[in-house]
Amino acid sequence: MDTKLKKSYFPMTETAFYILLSLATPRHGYAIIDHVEQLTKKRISLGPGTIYGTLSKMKKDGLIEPVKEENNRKIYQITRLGKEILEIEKARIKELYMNSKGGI
Amino acid sequence: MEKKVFKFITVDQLEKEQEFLHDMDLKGWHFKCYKNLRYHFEQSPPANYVYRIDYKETLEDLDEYLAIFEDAGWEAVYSYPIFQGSWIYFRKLSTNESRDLEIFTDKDSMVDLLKKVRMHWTWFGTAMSLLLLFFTILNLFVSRSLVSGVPTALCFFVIAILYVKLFINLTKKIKQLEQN
Repeated sequence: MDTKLKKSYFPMTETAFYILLSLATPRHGYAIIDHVEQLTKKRISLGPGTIYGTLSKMKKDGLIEPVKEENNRKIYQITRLGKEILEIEKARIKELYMNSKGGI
Repeated sequence: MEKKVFKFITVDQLEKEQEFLHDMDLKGWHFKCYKNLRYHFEQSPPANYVYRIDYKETLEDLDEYLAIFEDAGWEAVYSYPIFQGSWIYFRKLSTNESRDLEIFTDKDSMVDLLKKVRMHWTWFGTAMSLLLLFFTILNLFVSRSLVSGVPTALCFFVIAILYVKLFINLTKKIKQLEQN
């Protein structure tokens, strides 16, 4: 993995993490907003500008790819590189969680 | 009935512009378009619409972009093409719950917008300033009287100051966001 990717995705923002996590299942932009609201019990409500910008950036970096299109709504899915990045981030969050509980 | 309002708001003051459009809505004037430096409004009963403005750099995936906003409850009111992209004005009816009234909900995407605006407008401002500076100097060589060069020189100073101010303001806002 190149250093530019490392620099922009580690540690990941909450927004990026939840978007990437949502795309384990193919989803379009608004479906991601909806899914993240459910996951966080409406604590996080992502704005459309933020979703569009993050999707464009992740697509350019190869973390996600469009799989199909329905009524102008592009449906995205996580790529192998995206999964790899997500796993590294999950491990970091797990460490954080374990340490916060007072030791591994 | 239609009303046209002249108001000078520079691109580093998007919040001010959004607030202005919202205030007009509360008074029953709904934003239609922006032409010849004037905001055009149409009269109808007052409504509590909030306005949000985005700059989209490329227009090739405009349909996909608009679909996400539309699904999230934002209506695209007007677009103002400039450079290769376009300003896009969105509105959404504000309810008592007052949730989801932002189109950017994290620091990174807000910083991205400000950086995009800073880049395009700084390029444009620099090009304009250099051009005016060139004509001012050319005038010094060609014309025998100094007075004839005054209008160009004045334009140069106004444009240069305006765009330097814009650059400084946007940089300040970006730094503030990045530090939080």
